[in-house]
Amino acid sequence: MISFTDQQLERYSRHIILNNVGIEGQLKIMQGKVLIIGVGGLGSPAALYLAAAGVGTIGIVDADKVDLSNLQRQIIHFTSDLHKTKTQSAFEKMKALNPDVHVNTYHLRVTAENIREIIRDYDFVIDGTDNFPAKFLINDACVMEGIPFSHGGILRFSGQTMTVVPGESACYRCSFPEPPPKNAVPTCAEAGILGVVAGMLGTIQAAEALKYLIKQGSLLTNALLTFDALKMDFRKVALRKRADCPLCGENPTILRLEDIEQAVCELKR
Amino acid sequence: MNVYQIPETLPKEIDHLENLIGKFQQGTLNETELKANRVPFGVYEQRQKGTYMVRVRCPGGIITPQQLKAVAEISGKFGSRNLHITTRQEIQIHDVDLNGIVPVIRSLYDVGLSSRGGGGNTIRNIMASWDSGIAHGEIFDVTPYAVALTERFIAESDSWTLPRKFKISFSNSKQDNAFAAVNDLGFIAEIRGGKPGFRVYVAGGMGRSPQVGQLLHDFIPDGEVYLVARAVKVLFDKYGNRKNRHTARLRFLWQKLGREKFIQLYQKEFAEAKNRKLQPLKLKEFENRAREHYDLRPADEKTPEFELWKKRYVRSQKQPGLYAVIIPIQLGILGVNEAIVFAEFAKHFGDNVIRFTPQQNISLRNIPEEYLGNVYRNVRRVTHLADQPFLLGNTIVCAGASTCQLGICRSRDALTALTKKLTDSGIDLDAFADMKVNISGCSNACGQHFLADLGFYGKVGRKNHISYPAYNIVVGAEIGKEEGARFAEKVEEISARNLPEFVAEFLAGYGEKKDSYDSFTSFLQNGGAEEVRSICQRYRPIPDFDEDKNYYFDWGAREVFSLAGRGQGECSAGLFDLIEMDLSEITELKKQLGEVAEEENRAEILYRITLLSSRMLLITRGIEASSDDEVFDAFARHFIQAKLIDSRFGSVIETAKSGKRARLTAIRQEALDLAEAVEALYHSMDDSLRFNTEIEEEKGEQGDETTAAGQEEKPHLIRDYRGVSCPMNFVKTKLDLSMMRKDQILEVLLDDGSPIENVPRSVANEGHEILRQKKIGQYWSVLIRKKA
Repeated sequence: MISFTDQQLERYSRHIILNNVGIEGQLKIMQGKVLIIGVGGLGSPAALYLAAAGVGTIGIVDADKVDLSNLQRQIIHFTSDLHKTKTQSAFEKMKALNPDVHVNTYHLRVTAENIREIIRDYDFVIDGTDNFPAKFLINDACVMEGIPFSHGGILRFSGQTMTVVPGESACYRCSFPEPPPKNAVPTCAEAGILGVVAGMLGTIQAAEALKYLIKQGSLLTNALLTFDALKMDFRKVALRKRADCPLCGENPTILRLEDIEQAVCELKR
Repeated sequence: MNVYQIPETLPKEIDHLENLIGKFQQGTLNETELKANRVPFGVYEQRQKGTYMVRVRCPGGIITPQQLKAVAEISGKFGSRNLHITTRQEIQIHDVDLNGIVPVIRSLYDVGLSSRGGGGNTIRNIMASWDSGIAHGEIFDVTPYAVALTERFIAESDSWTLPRKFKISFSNSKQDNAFAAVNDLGFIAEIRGGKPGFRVYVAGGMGRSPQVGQLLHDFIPDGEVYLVARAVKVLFDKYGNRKNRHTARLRFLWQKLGREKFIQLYQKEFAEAKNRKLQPLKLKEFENRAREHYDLRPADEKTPEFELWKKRYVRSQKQPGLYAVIIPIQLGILGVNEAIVFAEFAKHFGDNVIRFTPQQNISLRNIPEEYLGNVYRNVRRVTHLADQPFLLGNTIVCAGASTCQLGICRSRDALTALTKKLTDSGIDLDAFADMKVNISGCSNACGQHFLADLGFYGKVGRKNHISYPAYNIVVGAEIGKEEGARFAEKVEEISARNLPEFVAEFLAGYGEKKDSYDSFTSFLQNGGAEEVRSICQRYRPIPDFDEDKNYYFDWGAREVFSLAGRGQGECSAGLFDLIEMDLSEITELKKQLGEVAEEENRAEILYRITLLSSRMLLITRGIEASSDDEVFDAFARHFIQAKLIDSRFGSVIETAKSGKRARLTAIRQEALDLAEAVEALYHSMDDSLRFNTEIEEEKGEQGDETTAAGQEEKPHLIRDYRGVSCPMNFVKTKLDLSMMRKDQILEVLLDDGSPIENVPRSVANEGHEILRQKKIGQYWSVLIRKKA
């Protein structure tokens, strides 16, 4: 049944006024369930915007604690949160921003063992992780469970993102069948990241989640959006769903989840 | 582990049902025949045609975690995303389509569950105290009896063809928290001379004519439970009224026969059963103890919320070191995902851990203290009420008029409004943890208002021909008393609009004095009931429709409150309330007629009798007239022209309508005859609101809209947004339109200036049609037709 309190009507009025959102769309948002894996650079803006938008249930997964080096870009965490778990810190901000939102926290690292159970409760997943093994794990688990998700990655001044609707559009493995070899991954020392780039990309991911919930417009499927903030160049590269994809193709070879060995990093994140 | 043994005949019965459904789909079996077989299987058709609800039997509210998970998965596959916990401690799967029914029943059977007897004239789910086996101070665990009696009865074919439903319950102590004393048959544990046994009540029940259970046996040894139950069942089967389902329950048989005759016939059946040397029940124990090993790390939970939660929802068990938790489930609605998450978690603690409570909540038992933190975390994933005061988690409310055919008021929305009011009020609700506040949408007691400390049931109020939603207030139920149960009694009534304010005021008042009384009952007896009356007094009379329309909208409703068009198919209690109200006034007026001397007064009384006679049954045709003349016109059209009432009464109606009331005294007898004719017609009315004399006449519902003379397009909904600034006036208008059906008309009142310049334009941009906008004094009225 539709029911909005006067306060909710006012809080979400700028959504409701939109022809493409309206009462129905806002209701879908309020009934929606989105899981954000990683509340770091990408997850911070996504969590804040989705909470602000009134997404009914938001899950946040992170095994880490807030570190001083995070604060340059992970805007949901404040200096006073140092050494708190990231889930606790994010939970507090989201609840303070919008008490209507139900926030589930998972203070853990997703693994082949636990991920399917966790994502099963949600309508949409946002990948805000910072390493390839996790990105492949999320892709594989979401495809197996049939849950759409937004992939995102950032490095230095650039970012890339794509949305996957399992069964309908290309998955991450359709373009990148295997994780890169260990030595090909830039180490944290070489990497570095301009803080705002994380905000730009995480916000795009949040927009995809909202669009998915309200079923309006078209998603960033079968395409990889990349941008370079130094030149402010945005590019969309077409992708296609491959029949020989080892995961979602006609004769899949990946039939169950496995944890992939993590690339080693000497510096702390 | 399976909780109960299912008879071997069930698979065959399922095959039979499948066969019938197949025939129905091919068109070789009619709907009524299918229904006769479907309902006793616990399969009900929902409001929406072609969708069904399956009710799963859970004696004593027991289900294993594995079974609960399976039920959730079955619902996810064949039904809705939400399960529903009932006040009889069962669980229901909703929105199953015809093809899904048999797969659902088969899948349930695979995990040891059955829906047989969930509905219809059968032995319904047998209840037991939710805390049986673990409660401090209980007499003994009654769970084994509820389960064993279930196993026995579901294997007996006469359990499915009784005159009406038959409800049984077991309580583990005098507290009677399974409400044994208000069931058709209730057993309350007791020990005599060191031997376990029961005090037995019979013929209790709620609904429109409630009766508390009557004492049948002061004490029976536990070995005779089956004999007693069997004897009462046979008695009911033999003598119950099969002709009229409204007077078929066991309590009506008790009333018809009287105590003496009833007991006499019962004793005959009891002796008969005893003679047959039937096997006593085979009891099996349900163990409550800690496991040797837990595959779970205790969660380190130290928040203040956790401590508060423990106070509110955690109870220690009689087994040292173990705890039981109540998990409040709002309205008994449990999401499929939540059910799976919860069931997976509950597995850690064993098989015998879950009970559904009559408050439509879940309880989880046998939890060692160190795992309470884990439970708390899981509970927060399962329910939004985890951090709410117990009073709010423990409230029972029926589905109400938003989904129930019979409902008058939208009880669920009333609860939402009440919850908000109480939460905002700052009243310390934890002080009322032992209080029960229940709400039913009508006089059928699905919301168990009769069992409440403070209960409400929906009724129709009427002011100047206009109906408004209201509630009767009942107070002071006493369950678990030596002298038998007592239902809450009506003391007052209140408009739906003022219900939240009333409760907040009442609780605030009671809260201040609470410590000076030893119980709520003693408060009621010493001025509490008077306080209810005086608060209600202040909320009367309600404003006129033109003064404040809010009173004429129910909570959560987007249309003006009306019973018109409701209750087709099944009797709506609300319709009867209205009819009875007019009827009793007619009777009263007739009495007065003989007592007054002046002709002028007599004319006035006769006019009123004619008016009420004409109005009384209009509601059955879906009509609510708004003036005297409309009443007369509608009556002439729908009753006289439709040949339900003799055409000779046309002249009485004409005379009354002409304004020359004085002339009525000359045709006094005709006016009185009209009243009699209408009353007789009313008594001939059946459950579908059809009259005996009714010929090929159709309800005239379609005719109504087009033929009603001189009526321009009437708005379905009127909203006053004067004083609401941009863009909130537009936002609210959008909300209203979203609730309406296409082509329905909305009237909004808007201020002059930017509201009238912007809102109609924005509405039109979204494709709705602006029928007209009219300036009335300083403001505007805009008529909008919702887009197709």
